[in-house]
Amino acid sequence: VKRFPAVAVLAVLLSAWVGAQGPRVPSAAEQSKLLERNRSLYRAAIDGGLNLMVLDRRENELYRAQCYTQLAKQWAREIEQAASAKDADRVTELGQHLTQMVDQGVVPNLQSARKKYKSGSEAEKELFRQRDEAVNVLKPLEESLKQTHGFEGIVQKLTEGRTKVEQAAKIDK
Amino acid sequence: MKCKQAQQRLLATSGPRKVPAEVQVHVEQCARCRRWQLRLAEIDRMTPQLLLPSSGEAKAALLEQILASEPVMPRPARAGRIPGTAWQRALLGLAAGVLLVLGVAVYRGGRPPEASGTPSDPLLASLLKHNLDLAKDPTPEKTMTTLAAVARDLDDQTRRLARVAGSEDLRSLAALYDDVVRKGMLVHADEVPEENKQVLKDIAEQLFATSREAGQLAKEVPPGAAVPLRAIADAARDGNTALRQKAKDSKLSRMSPSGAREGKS
Repeated sequence: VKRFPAVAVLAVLLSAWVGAQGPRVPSAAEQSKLLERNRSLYRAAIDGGLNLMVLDRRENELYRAQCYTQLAKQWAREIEQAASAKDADRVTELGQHLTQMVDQGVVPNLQSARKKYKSGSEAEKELFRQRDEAVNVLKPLEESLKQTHGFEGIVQKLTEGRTKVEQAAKIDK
Repeated sequence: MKCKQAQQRLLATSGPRKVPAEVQVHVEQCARCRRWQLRLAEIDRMTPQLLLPSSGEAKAALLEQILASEPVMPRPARAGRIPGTAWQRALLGLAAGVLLVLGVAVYRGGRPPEASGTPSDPLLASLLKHNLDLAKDPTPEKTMTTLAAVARDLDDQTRRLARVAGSEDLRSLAALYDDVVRKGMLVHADEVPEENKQVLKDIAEQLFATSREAGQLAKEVPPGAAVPLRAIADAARDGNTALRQKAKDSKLSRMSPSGAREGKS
């Protein structure tokens, strides 16, 4: 019976060590499967990048926020499908990507636009419209993932991201 | 006097000994202790009827039998105790716990989410990172460098998977490569300022290497993979030529205002 705590401690240490090894590099066969599965997302990421560079619009923060919201929409659809298939790994992977898009793509551009546009202006209405569009991508996904036990971590991150989007369009006091 | 005290005194005085007066007073007033006293009296009465060895030899034999048997370790009695060793009971408990958690998960949301065991896709993560980089630092040089990194990722992946992936999947990678070179690099190369045109030369070098290596590999792989590899080699070759030309044009235009026009014609 005294050995039990020792074995439990060893198991915890081993788990921590395995966890610290970082993501596993997929084999060629696994990468081939990933290619088949993620083709449409590769296309979305590259088209999204090329759209960001459109000469006459790339300086516009709201346009950039829109580009990322469109990209987020595609990721959200894939996450929904993965959640329906109970594929926890994929939900986590794509959920992290989506959080990145929101944190580094949507939020900074909305914040930048907020600083630039005056209260009550037409541009501000466009800012709010863009904010709502992003919120409308994140909120239904949150609600959907809440229905399944096991996705609490990613729901938490999405909720935090949505809050940041909502805050980004508010005037600093 | 309390019942507990009275019952202990009754136990101590069971048999022919006389019950103390104060205990007797309590027993006469307490139905419970009276029942206790009656049961003790019954035990006293039945004890002599127990079968005992009739002779000294028999007693000795009985004692020997008792002493020869394994000592019995006293254990606290537990109702419904699970048999087996401590480890077996621990494992059984763990299994019960796992079943309970699964049961709750199934009850709450149908089949619980499963770890598919499929690793994350490094190419997808990389493409997304480059996409975000494009928005973070949109200077023309940085844009070109980022596009070159995207092209390199796509080329690497196509070559790595040339012998294992389906031709349609490889063609999709080649199409992405083509778009990055033609719709990305070649469109935005002109925005790079004169003083940073070296960036274009560096990228042209990379494209030249790609055109050579992808072209070579296309000769060694099955036809399904050869077509997309040739497409990548073609796009890289065209990109190399065009970027060198743009870098050259800018050098010429620096030397003479009419040089650029001559170079382009």
